[in-house]
Amino acid sequence: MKPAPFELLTPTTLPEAIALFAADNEAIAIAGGQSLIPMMNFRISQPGKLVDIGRIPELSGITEREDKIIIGATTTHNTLLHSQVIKQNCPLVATAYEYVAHHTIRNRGTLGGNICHADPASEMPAVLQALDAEFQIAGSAGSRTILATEFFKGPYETALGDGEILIAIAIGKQSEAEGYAFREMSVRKGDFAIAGVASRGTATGSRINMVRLAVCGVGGAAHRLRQVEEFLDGKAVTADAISEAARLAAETVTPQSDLAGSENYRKALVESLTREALQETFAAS
Amino acid sequence: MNKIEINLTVNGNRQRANVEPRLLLSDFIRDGLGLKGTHVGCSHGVCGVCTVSMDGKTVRSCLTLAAQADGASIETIEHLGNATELHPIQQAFSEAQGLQCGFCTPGMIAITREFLQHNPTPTREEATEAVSGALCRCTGYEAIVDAILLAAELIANTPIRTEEAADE
Repeated sequence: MKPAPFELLTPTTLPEAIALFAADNEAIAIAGGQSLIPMMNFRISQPGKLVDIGRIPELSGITEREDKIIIGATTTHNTLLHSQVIKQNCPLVATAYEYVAHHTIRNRGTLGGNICHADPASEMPAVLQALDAEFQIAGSAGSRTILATEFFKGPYETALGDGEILIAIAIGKQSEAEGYAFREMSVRKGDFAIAGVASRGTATGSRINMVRLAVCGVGGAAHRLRQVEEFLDGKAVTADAISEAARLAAETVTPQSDLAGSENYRKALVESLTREALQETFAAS
Repeated sequence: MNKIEINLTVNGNRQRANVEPRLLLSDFIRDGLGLKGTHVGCSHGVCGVCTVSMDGKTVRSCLTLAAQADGASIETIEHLGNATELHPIQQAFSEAQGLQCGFCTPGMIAITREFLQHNPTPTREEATEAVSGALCRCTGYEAIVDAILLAAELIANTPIRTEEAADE
């Protein structure tokens, strides 16, 4: 239950960090370590070299631009949970954060670390896909931007290439007209999602003109429910439409069966959670 | 094997040590410094018994590398009160029987201390949620929640001087 030996490097600037990753493709980044260290304690992960990016000031912080919020990759969960800027501009993030881990873990854990770890039961990968967030990535070959919806490839698998690290998360400000909701079932509050649904949308004259739905915990990476979004687009907000959407959501997911729940249980959860999330999202319509 | 030098403050005392990068803060506290009050339960961050305070915030010491505590100020259970003058939180846990075997108690107290600093007048529901991330095998949790609420009262009624004296 103790990590295997490794070398630890602690750069204090971003260029320094990028150079270290470029020099060694096998090096792994650590920030809060709240997902990585448990894996190392179990020796599931045995990196030969860790690069601690938690002491690089420019990687942490929340910046408000005119139409978007930029979050540094090593910003801690609690900083985001308690941020007025996040609450006012990305309320779906703020509301979903109530379900993420526990207070002490959130003191150290970072949003970037959570995303790059890409646990299929993690909430934020689903939330950020529902928000059409963009991720800024840097490596020795330069910088690039990738959509959240293209970042999560599979369980614990992301689009980060060799020597690349996540720098920041950019989220467009949610409009005042938007409804939103996050729903999850877990054993204890804060535990990993058995299933979770993130939802946001707008309706004009009771007709849906924008809806985003994303799911986590149900097999594979967190992902958008595009079929359900297409079904709802343009529809009137009625109990029947929401129920049908929820039924469709349960049909389209392919959950795993494990100790936390069977495939059927997860499908049933997805249906209930989607219905509740949509009801709350379009409650004002 | 490579070692790195760390400099940190633990319970008010400056410490310097050469540690392997893989040494967990929990093991540094227990084996390196001989402070056995911090316990190790699951060693993968689920149970919370290893919780200590780092720069004023609770952390799970089994999920922190000792090297990541370089430059930090750590407080463990040993820093709270003493045998003749209990900290109000310890007093509350004792009176409300918020412990039986005591294994989870240092972690519960660390969590309680941070929680009450941010929320000095909690509801029962808030206090319950505050410790919901930590496991106890003995008490069934109700007595722990009782202890937190009692601690809030004791801290509120205690002159500031006693709180400072108990922290020394």
